[in-house]
Amino acid sequence: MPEGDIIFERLRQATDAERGRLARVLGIDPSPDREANVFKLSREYRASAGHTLRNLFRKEHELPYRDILLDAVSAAAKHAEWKPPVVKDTAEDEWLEDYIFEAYCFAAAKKNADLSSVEIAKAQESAERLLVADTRSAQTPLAAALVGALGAGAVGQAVGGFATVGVVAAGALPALVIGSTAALVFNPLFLPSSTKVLNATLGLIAVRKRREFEAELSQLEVAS
Amino acid sequence: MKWNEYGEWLVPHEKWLSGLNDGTLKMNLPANRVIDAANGRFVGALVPGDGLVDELARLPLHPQPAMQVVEASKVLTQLKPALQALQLTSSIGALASVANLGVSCAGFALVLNRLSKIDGKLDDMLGKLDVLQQSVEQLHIKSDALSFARIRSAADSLDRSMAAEQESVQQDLARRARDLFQESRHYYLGLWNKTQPWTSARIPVRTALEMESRFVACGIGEIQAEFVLGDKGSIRHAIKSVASDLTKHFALDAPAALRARSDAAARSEGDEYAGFIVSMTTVSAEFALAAGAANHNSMRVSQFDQDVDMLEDLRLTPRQLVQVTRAADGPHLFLLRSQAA
Repeated sequence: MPEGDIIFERLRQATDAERGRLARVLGIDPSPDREANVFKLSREYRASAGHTLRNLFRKEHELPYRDILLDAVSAAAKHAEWKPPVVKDTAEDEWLEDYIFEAYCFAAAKKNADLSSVEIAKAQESAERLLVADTRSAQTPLAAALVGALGAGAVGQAVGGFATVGVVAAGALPALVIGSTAALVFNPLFLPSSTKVLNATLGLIAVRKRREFEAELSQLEVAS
Repeated sequence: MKWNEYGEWLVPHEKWLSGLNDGTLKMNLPANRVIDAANGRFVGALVPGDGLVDELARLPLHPQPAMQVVEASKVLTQLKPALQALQLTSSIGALASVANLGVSCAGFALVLNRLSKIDGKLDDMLGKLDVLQQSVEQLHIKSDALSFARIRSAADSLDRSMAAEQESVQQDLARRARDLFQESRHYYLGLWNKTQPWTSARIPVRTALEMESRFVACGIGEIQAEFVLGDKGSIRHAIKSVASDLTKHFALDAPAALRARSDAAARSEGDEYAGFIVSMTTVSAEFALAAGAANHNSMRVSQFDQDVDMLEDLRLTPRQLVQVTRAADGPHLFLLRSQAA
C-alpha cells in the first residue's frame, strides 16, 4: 500500500497530543521528528494488526487500513453485544469507522443506563444503516446521541427555555463519568489480542471526528 | 379603550376618533396622518395599532436580525417609512435597541426566574469539582460569595429600588444592588481566569456556560442598577467594563476549545481520553450552543451603550424609561415615542 493512505493522512492530521496517545497505546516511544513519528506509528500499528505469518511477506506499510477496520468492526460489534454486521465491498472505509464509533459509544452508554431491548435493537439497526449507502444519508447516529440523552436527565431543567438570556445547556454525560465505563475497551481483559489495535483504530477515528466537529463549529462561527 | 376601526397597523390616536366620527377630521392614509377635513392640514400622526405592536414584538432583539426580518416582511417593509415618519425612533434598528433596554430593565425578574432553573447546578459543582474548589480556595473567596442566593439578593434589591416611591430609598437600594452585583461579577471573573473553563476538560461545558451566564447576569444587574442611579458616565463605564471583560476573557473559540479539551484528555494518563471520545458528539453540540449563547450575551451587553444614547433621543430620564418599560404591558418590545414628537 502506498505511504499515503488514510492511516498516514490521519497520523499527519493528528495533533502532537493525539500522536503521543497513539504511541502510548501502541507501546512505542514517539520520535521527536513529526514525519518520522508518522512512519513509526504506521509501522507499529500495521504490525500489531496484521496476522503474524502474513506480515512476514508484507512490506511494513502495506497492510490495508480496510483489513484492520473489518477486524475492528467485528470487535466493536462484539463489545456492544451486537451481532456482527454484513459489510459489503461497496462500503467505504469511513462508513466502517462510523459503525465502530457508534458501537463504542453504545457500549459506554449501555453501562450507564438500563436500556430496553427495543432501544438496544434500534441502536444496532441505526449503526448498521451507517454501512449502507442508501440508508446512511438519512441516518442520525443513535448511540453517540444516546450518550447525550443519558446526561440530559441530570441537566434536564437547563435544556431549552433559556435562550432569552443567552443561557443554553444541552444534556451531556460528563466525560469523567463515562470515562470509567468507556475504558472497558481499554481493559486488557477485553479482547486481549486486539485491544491495542482497537484502541489505536479508535484513536485514528477520533482524529477524524474531532476535525469534523471543529469544522462544523468553525462554520457556526462564520454564520454568526 | 374603544374599538379603533380606522386602521389595522397604524391607527389614529383615540383622541381623534370623535372628530373622525363626526366628519370634522379625515384620514390621509398615503401620508399616514389625520387631517382637518375642511382645510386638509395636518392634525396628528397615526400610531401603531395592536396588530403592529404584536408584529413588532416578534422581531429579534438584535438590530441586525431585526432589520432583516423587517426587510423580509411585506407588511413591515411597507411601514418602515411610516414608522420613521412618526418619529417613534430614527430607525427600526434603534427600535430593536430600545426594546433591548426595555427587556433589560423590565425583564430582569424574568431573567432571574429562568436562571433559577439551573441555579443549584453551579453551586453543586463548586462543591464537587476539585478544580473549582481549589481555585476558590486559592482566590480566597468564600463559596457563599459565588452562590446564586447572592445574585438573587442583589436582584431583589434592584427590583425593590425600581418599585420604591421615595428617591432616597430607591437610590439606597440601587446602590446595594450595584455593589452586590459588582462584587459577584469580579469573583466570577477571578474564578473564570483561574480555571479557564472553556478549555478545561475537567469542567463540563454546561458548567462553563453557567459560569459565563452568571457573570453576564451580574453584569446586566450592575448596569441596570447604575441605570436606576442615573449617572450616565457610570452607566457607560459599567457597560464598557462588562463588555470588555466579556470580549477579553469570556469569548469562546469553539473549535479551539474542543481541540484543547481533546489534547488535554489525550495527554492524560488515565481513562479521560476514552471518556472524551465517547462524549465528543455531545461536547461538540454543547459548544455549538454555548458559542451562540456567548455571542448573544456579548452582543447584548455591547448594545446597551446605544440604549444610553436613546435616552437623549427620547428625552427621557433613566428613571422615566424604567417606569415606562415596567408599566408597558407587552412581551418584549416597546415602542417609545420621542418627547419631542
